[in-house]
Amino acid sequence: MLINDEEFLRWLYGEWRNDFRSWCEKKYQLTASESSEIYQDAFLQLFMNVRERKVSELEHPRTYFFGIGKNLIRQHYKRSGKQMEDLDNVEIPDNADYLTNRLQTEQREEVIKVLNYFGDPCRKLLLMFYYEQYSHEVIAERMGYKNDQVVKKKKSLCMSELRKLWKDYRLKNTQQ
Amino acid sequence: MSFTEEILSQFERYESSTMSQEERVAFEERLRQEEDFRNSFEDFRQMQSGIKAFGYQQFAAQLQSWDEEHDTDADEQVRTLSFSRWYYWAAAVAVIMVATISWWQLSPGQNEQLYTAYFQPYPDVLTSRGENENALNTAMIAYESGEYSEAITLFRQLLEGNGSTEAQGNELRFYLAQAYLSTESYDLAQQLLEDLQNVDQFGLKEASQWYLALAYLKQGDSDTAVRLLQQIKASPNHAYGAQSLQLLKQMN
Repeated sequence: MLINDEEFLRWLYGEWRNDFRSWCEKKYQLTASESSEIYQDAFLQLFMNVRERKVSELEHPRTYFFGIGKNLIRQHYKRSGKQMEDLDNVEIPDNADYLTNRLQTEQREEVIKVLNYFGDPCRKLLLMFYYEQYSHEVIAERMGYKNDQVVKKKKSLCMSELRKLWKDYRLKNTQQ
Repeated sequence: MSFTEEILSQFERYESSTMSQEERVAFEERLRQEEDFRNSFEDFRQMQSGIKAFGYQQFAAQLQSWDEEHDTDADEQVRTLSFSRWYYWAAAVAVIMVATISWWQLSPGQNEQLYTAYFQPYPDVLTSRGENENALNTAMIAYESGEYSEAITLFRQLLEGNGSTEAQGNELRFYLAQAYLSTESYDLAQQLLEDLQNVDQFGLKEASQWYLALAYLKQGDSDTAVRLLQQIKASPNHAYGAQSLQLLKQMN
């Protein structure tokens, strides 16, 4: 699964970087720093779209990626109140809601804070299952558990522990 | 309602739309009828979202560090191409370094402000596991309620009592270090964290690295703090990658 292959992602990130940034700078007159920021955001969005299965097989991944970039440039211009021709909307599933509205809730932020203090192996296991989306069998193999049943049991304990820490955190914050 | 394996499996299958039509109807009916079930499902969804968002935050921090690596590589290429360009970069780096060092030396209060902004005693993850040994429980209650001097005495008694395994000993030493940080005994905290940050298979190893960097920051040793924060930032999926990146940005 290439989406979890760090070496591949690092290579891909370097592969498109210069072309994308000079495209932003030449065609849309963005500064180096703006181009760099948009490149990072576009790559993150591509990664999220693939991981969240908003896109399955990409025949032309580079074109798709530049389409994401174009949408982000359009948003950038909109925010700064500038008008730009040749920036019609490209039909690409947008994860902006995922980043801002739907998940940018108070509760989600609390869970993130608690996860910062949540030790391994629980955090690693939960990330492997819910974020990296590995099966119980693969997790058992990679984390050295006897079988998938042990992983399911451990996951249930870890989720219960995380839930308790989260509720304790909420309680403390409410009292303060 | 607790997150049993069966309940989690139901929640996951509903969320991933892998339930049969019949199962889904029954699940949704249960959501309507049972408040406890509904609340548990809502908790599950928030937690799942939080775990994913945590992962994406770490990935975003990784992209930033890849960018910095590429920029460094590009700078090195430029230096080898032209002496005059090399001279320019070297001079620029020297100016930045001098400016940075001077800034650090001239603004000791800045380190303290950053430390205060980032330091938060690590929450109790020992007794919440249900392993309620009495002495440990009492020590953690003292710790959680901010009675750090008392917690230090109790942690030390537990460690000297030889009743703990090596793994438990490391966890106790970690919380002892937290209590030392909270009572401004930074040297003692650093000694413990220096050892703990190198313990393999230790669940609080990454946290030890982060708190050690904060301790150096507070002590005014910005060079060591920066070196440790850069190591954290460069480690893939480090729990404190995003915070380290943010703190480094604020230090520069």
